[in-house]
Amino acid sequence: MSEALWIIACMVPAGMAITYVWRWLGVVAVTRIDPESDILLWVRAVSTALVAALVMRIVIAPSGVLADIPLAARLLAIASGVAVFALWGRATQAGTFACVIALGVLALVAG
Amino acid sequence: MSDEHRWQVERDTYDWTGIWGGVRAALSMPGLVMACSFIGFGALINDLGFPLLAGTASIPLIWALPGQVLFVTMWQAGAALLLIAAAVSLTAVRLLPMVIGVLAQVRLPGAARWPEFLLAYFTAVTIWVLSVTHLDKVPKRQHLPWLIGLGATLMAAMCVVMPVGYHVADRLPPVLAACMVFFTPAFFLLSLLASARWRFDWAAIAAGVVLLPLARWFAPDVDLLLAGVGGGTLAFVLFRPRRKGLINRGEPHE
Repeated sequence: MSEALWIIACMVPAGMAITYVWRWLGVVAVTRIDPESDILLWVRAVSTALVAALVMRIVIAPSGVLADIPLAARLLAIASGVAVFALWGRATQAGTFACVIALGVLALVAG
Repeated sequence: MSDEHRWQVERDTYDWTGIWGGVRAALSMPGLVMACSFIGFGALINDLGFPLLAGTASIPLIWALPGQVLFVTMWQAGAALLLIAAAVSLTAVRLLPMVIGVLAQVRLPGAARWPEFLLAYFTAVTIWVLSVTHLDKVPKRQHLPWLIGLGATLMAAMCVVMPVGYHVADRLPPVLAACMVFFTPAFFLLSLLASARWRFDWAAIAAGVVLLPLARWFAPDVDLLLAGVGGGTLAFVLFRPRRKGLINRGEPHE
């Protein structure tokens, strides 16, 4: 319990404040900034790459239950979701579910 | 448009009955997809050994799943708070253009500004997607209240749904539990692909994916930041939109 409260206390500055700052800037900027300025596009690129890296980190270096499933199965599952997305006219939800279903199937086949 | 009419539009106020339309929309398909990823988030924090209370608090505090997952992952890896804050902040930067994009569609130029700050608090990927796809059937004065109703309902619902995922994960067969955890990275990657618009977006996704294993090899402590900042910058430098480059160098078009 006290550990959770300590984490929450850390989360207010390191999670909440730092996240809301960008939202607040968006409200302030909406009347005057060009959303396609170079700095904002660079920022978009960095934040996209960071989320992609986070995905990869969960896929190649997971802990717990996901770690018991072979790496090849995890990578193939992600690839099949991307394939569904690409072949099925940018179907985001179908692609997401395809990743998850493929992981289950591959794990059962491999196990 | 006559001056008189224009003046009337600028003094306009929001029609708050629009909230209820947003509440109803939250309880349909978009809410279901979001619920799946938050059930997955619950399974993920259980798997990492992160306290449920702190995980649930992250929903109203951060309200951006990539930032929440990053916070939890780095915290459990024992990263310094300053590094966590830097990484969370970098994922949250996406919210700036997102808020601008949403507000540009729904704000009334003459109305009070505080509802815009409230909507910004609720703005995240799902809201942004829905504002593009669902608002054409809603009257203009109800747009902003509609999105606030949607956001508030989704936030409350996720606070209920996420602990379910946390508790269920323990009782499921391992393969099913792993599938639930897998929902989070799958949803992130597919959302990135869905929102990619510029060539550098695709390049940034590829760079993040490819650079992470390398960064992990060289500097496991800062792998995410290295792959994110390095990969994003590389993608932007190589695939920066041509039009902007010309303008910045002061060269004439075509």
